[in-house]
Amino acid sequence: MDKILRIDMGADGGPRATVEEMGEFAGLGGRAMTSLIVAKEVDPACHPLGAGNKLVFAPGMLTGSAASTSGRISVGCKSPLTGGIKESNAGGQAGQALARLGYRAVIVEGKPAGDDLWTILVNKDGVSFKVANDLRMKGTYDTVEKLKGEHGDKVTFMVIGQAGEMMLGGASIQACDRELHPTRAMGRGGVGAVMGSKKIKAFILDETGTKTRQPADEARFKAAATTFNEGLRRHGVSGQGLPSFGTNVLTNILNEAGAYPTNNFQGGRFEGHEKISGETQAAVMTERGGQATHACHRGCIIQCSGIYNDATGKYLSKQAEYETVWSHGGNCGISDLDIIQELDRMDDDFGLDTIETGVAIGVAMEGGLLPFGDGEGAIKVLAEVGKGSPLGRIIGSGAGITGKAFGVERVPVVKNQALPAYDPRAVQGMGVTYATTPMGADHTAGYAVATNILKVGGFVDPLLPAGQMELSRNLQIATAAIDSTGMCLFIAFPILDQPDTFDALVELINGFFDINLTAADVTALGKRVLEAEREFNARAGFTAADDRLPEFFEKEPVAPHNVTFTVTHEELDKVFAW
Amino acid sequence: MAHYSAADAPWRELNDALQQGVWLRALTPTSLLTFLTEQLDLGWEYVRDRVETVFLDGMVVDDLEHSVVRDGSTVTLSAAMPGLVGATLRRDGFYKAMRAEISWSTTHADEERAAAPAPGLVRVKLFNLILKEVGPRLLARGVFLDHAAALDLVGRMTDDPAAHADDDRFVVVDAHDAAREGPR
Repeated sequence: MDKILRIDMGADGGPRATVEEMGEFAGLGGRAMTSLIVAKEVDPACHPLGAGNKLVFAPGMLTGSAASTSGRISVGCKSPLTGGIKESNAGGQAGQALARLGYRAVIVEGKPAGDDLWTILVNKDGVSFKVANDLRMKGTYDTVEKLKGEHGDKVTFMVIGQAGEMMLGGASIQACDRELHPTRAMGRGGVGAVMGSKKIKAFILDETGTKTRQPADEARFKAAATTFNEGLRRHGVSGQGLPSFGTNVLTNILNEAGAYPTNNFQGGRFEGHEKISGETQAAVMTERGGQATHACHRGCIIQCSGIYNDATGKYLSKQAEYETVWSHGGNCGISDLDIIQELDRMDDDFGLDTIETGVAIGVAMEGGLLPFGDGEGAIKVLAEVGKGSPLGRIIGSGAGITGKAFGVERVPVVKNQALPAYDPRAVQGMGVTYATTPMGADHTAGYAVATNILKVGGFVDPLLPAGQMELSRNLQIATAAIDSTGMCLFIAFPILDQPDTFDALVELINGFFDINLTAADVTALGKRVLEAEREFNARAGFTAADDRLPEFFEKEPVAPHNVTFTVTHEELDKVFAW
Repeated sequence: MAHYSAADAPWRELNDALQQGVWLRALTPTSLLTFLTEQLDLGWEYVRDRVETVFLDGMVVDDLEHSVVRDGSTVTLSAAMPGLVGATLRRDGFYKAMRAEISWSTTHADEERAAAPAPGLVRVKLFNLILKEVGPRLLARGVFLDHAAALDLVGRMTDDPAAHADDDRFVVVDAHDAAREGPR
C-alpha cells in the first residue's frame, strides 16, 4: 500500500514519524512528487536552513518495480545554494528500498532543539530514531562502515558528510551503490545542508521482508518490459557506448566541438583531453582490475558506471562521471586521471557536489589561490573542506561564494549554481536551458527527451530562430515528466530514436498502474511541475533578471570558435511564455 | 614528423595517439563522404549507421557529401553520444540548431571540390566505439604522428627512448615528402 512518511525532527520529546495516505499526491513520483509537495508545504520566504524548510524524498513512479533502469530517487527542498526550489536525483539502491517499503514520499520537517545528531532506521516494522553523535564530522565512507557494523550489509544508506553537517551550499546527500559505497550523489543545490540542518546524519533503509512492487496489469507490464529492455540493449548509446566508456565518453567530443570549458571557462579546448577521456579511463579501470561496466543499482541494464582502482589495484572510487572529470580536470587544467579520481573520492566522502566543488576550485585558481594544473594543490585545497577550516568552508559553499571571497569576475553560475561541463557560447541551446531552468544552471533540466515524438508544444521547426527557445522549453517540460518516473535519463536516446521503445516506456507506466497515459498527459504533467517550480521561485523573489547567464558569456569570445552567447534577454523571457 | 608502423604495437599506448589524431595520406580536396568510404575504406552502411558524430576542422558536420576535406584537414569520427549535447552534436540531428554557431558551412563547398585532387595529408581522430572498431585497421595501413606525439609514444613504450634511436620501427621522415608519395 503506497503511503507518505512524515518525519517531524522538531517534535516535542524528540523526532516523531507518522504515516499518511497519498491524498492529492497519489500516482506521482520523483520530481513531480518533491516539487509539488515543496511548492504546497514550504513557505518560499523561509530560511533554507530553518525549521520551515522541508526535505522531501521520493522514489520514481516505477522505482521498486521490475522495470529496468527505473531506480532513481529524487530529493527536493528550498535550496540553500540558489534560494529557489530544488530537485536533485540519484541512482543507487535507496530509491528501490524506499519504494519496496511502500513509501512514495518521505517528508522531513522541523528542526531539533538540541545539537544531537540522529540516524533514522526505516524498515518493514516502521521507523526508529537513534542519537548518533559518534558519527559527528565523519566522512561518508567511515559513516557507512560504522553503520554496516550495526546493521549489516543487507541494508542501504543515505548519508551526509562533513559538508552537510557544516550546512555548506555545495553539500550533497550520498546514496550507496550495490557494494555499499556512498558514491551516488543527490548533489546539486546544497540538499545535504538541509539534511544537516535537521541534524540527520544517515537514513538506514532496510528492505528485508519486502517484495518487488507488483504491476496492476502484469501481462501488459511484462510485455512492455521485454520490448523496452530489448530497445535499451539494441541502441548504440545505451547498449554499447555508455556500458563501454561511461558518461565520460563525452570528454573527447566536447573538446573537439570547442565546447569543453577549460581553466574556468577561459577556453573551449583542453590539451590533455585524451589523458582523462572515457576511452582512457575505461582502459585504466580494466588494466587495474576494476570494472569498466557496472550498474549503480539493481536491475539497470545500461550499466554506465564503473569501479576505479588505484595503481596498486585497490578500490579508490566509482568511475567518475563526465561532469566530475571535467570540473576537477579540464576546468582546473588538471590532466592526471588518478588525481581526478582522488578528488572524486574526496567529494563523495565529504558529501559534496562534484560540479559545484570543481568549479569553485577553478574559480579559486583564477583568483590566485593556486595555479591552474596544480593537481596536488587541488587535493590540499579540497582536504580543507573535510577539516572544516575557513578556506574549506568557502570552497564547500560553492563557486559563487568562492568568487566573492577571491574577487573573481568570471564566476560561471546561474541562480548561484555552478554551470556544468558544456560551454553555452558554443552550444547556445544549452545556454538557454542553463539560464531559464528554475533549478539554476543544470545540464539535466532540459534533456534530449523525445520532444519530437511527444510533440510537446506541437511541432517545432528547430531551424527557425524561435526554435531554440521552443526546443529548450519543450525539453524542460519533457524532462520534468521523465524525472518523475524514476527512469534514468540515459533512456533518452533509445526512446528518441526507436518509436517501439518509446511506446514500450508508455506501456510500462500504463501496465504498472493500469491506466491509459497519453503523450498529452505526459506533457501536462511536465508543465504542471514546471509551473509549480516557477511560481515557488517567483514567491521567493526571483525575477526575469535571474534567468540570465553571467555577463562574461555575452562579452568574452571563447576559442577556438571565438563565439559569444548571443541569445537576447527578450528571447530568454519567451521560454516560459506558453 | 615520425613514421610508425604499428604491427606489434601495444594498443593501450596507441589509444592516446588515435584520440589526439594520426596523419594519413589522402587525395585532397575531396568530399568527406568520399574520404570516409573510398580513402578510409569504411563501408557506407557503417558510416551511415555508426559514425553519427563527425567533425571537420573542429566544426560539426551534417552533410558528408557536401563537406570538403582539404590538405591538412582534421577529420574526427565518433559514434552517437549520450545526453542533450550528444544529441545536439549528432550529424543532421533534430537538435542541430542548438549548435548552429559551430556547424560546418557548405556554402563554398562545391567550387572547392571542383579543384583537381592532389596528394596531401589528413589528420584523423577516432573516439569511443569508432576507436575500437576502426583504430586497428587504420594502424595496420600505417600512420604518421606529430613529432611530439611520437616521442611521447616511444617514451611510454620504453624506459629508454634513446635506445630506440636506431629502431627501424621508428623512422623520421619529412611530412611533405611523405605526402608526395600519395595515398596508400
